Amino acid sequence: MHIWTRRSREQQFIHTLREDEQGEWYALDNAAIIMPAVANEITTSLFRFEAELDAPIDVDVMGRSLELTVRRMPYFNVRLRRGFFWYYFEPCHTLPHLYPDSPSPSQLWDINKRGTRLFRIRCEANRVGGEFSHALTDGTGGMAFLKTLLANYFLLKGILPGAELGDGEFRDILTSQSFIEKMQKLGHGNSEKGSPPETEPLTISSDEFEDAYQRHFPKGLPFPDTSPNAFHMKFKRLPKGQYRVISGELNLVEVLSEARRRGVSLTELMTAVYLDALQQIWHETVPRPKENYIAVEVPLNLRTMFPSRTFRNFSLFVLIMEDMRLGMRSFEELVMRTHYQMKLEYDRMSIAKHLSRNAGSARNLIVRAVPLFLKDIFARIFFAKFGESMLSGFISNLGQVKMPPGFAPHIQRFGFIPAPSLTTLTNASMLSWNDTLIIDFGSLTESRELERLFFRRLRSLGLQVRVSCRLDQTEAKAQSKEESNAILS
Amino acid sequence: MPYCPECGVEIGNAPRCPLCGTPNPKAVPEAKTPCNDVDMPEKHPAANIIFEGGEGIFSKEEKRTVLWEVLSVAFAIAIVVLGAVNLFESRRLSWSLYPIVSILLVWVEATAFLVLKNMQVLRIVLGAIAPPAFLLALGFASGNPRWALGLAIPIAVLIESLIGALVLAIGMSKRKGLNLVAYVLVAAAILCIGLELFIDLFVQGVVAFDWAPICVIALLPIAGFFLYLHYRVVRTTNLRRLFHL
Repeated sequence: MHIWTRRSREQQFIHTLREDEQGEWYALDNAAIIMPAVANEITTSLFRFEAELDAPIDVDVMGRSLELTVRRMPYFNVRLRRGFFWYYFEPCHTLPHLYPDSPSPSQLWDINKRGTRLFRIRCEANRVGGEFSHALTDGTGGMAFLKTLLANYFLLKGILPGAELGDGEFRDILTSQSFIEKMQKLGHGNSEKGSPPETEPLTISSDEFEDAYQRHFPKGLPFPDTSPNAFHMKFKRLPKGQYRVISGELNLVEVLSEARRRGVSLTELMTAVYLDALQQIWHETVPRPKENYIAVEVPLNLRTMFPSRTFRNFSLFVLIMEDMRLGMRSFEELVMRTHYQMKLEYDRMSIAKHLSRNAGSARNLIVRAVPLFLKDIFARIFFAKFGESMLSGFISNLGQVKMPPGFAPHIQRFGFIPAPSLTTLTNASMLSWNDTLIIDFGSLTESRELERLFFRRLRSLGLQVRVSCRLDQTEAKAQSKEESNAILS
Repeated sequence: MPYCPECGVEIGNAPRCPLCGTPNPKAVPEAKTPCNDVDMPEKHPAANIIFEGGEGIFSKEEKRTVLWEVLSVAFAIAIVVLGAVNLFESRRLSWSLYPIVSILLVWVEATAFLVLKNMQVLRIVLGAIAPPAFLLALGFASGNPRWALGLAIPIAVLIESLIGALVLAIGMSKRKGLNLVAYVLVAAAILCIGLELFIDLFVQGVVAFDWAPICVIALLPIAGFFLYLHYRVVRTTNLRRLFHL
């Protein structure tokens, strides 16, 4: 009986799906619980994946594809609600819409606004973008959703994948021809909108939306050391609603060979370039910044270390720091120091300390019994102290994106745009598609200094860089909420 | 492929380098589509009269500045004319003070709302000071400022404060619904108390609450009920969800 009770309590923490008289609902995962308190229309917590196809998007087919995708992944089709002690997700009883794209992604979408979904899919010309709140999922989950959406789109278009979906290296693509046929027999994914998703007869494994932080919660570990406040760039902000994306494309083989030549990974090389840009900005800042450290956060996908199939959040980060009081470091020094700092921090035991602190606090009965309005206040303080105040920026590397051989020729490019932050102002994300490394900087500031220094450093290493800015290409016109959130389909 | 001469990065056909803004030496101007022609400057010759080198179309800010300038000139002419006629007729400023003060009130409010968009604090302060100042000026113009100082200005300040508090409370509400009605009712209750207080002090010199407490007793429970409905009943779909630990 005792064992049963303990197991039952464990399951309560791990499994986010709950059911009551009025249907299903979900608890937020451990990383998500802080997001609603700190998200708003500007710092939306939305990160974005996008894909450019070889032909203009067929909006009707994409709408049907979206319907099929949320029927297969219903734990994405939710909205945020406030409980007395915690936030929770309530399933939406309607299907999501497609929205027109904007040169300023991830803006003007407040997840706290009643009825707002935690993601939106946007289309324009041959580009489809999925913007996902960190309250809902992380990069792995967001990319799985976008890949499933694209796979459904291609399958509906009659394009065959040429490989088995949902298995092996394509296990994150949760669809198949037979699934689509089954859904269409039930009247879903056809031209007309179907019935609400919760009537679905599908059996979906609860592993897909488990709180993996709680599954791998290590008890009794000490908390990690706190880091000093890091330097933040002080530049003038862009007007409300604008989020500038500067994209750089590099030859992946060139970059990998440069990293190998230095005996470091691609992520470490790019982190060092980022630190180099930040240290130049720090030394140029007048008057001298109060914060003596620059720090770059490098998110880690914990699934590689702790097995989980969840599409909710399951990532932590490593903080790479440099003390600016010691003066400017050479680039070579930064590369090696980044490499060794990563090696020190990126190990199971060090990560477990972070896991223990984060997941453990959500199990604490006193924390759980604090009303939500007080939790919100503490969450903001916690986020300020242990969140963005510790970092000057982040650079996230999703790695190589793989699509089945039948679909890949129809995708020209993928993109990964970081979530906006008013504290760090500018952040970077990257991924690789075919033989191209794509680095996207998202910025809320008018200054392009960080991006300029970053890409100039890459050029100085002899790497070919192609740079573009979507906001520049579009006429600077006011983007009203109505324009941004108009519905396509 | 075109490269930025400063940064060395490839910039395609962008007119400027996205990193440093250096013009692209090899940029090919995009062909004009009929759609683009609609908003070209030559279609709006008036657009370049005031703002030389501008985009050819007034921005919202420019439109506001133009409107404010036109209003200022018009008001100045009106004030001069009113004052001159009054002086010519009576050899002193008398009746013209009332329209002049009123025009000045409108001008100050127009300045606050049209010109000071980027200076929110100054805008609010100016917009709030103007009505009491107007009442005070009217008091002096009428030769007896007692009614303004003792009654009109306190009531105006109270109303402005309540409006400010209401706007703040509404803005801070994450979810807007019956709670807004409750806020308005609470503000109305405070206004009733204030009105009776100021009227009593002005008329009798002492405060003797008579009707205001009855209003408060009626309004506050209704406000409380709306708050209860908003925060506890309407939003609650299921108590188990609401209170999950």
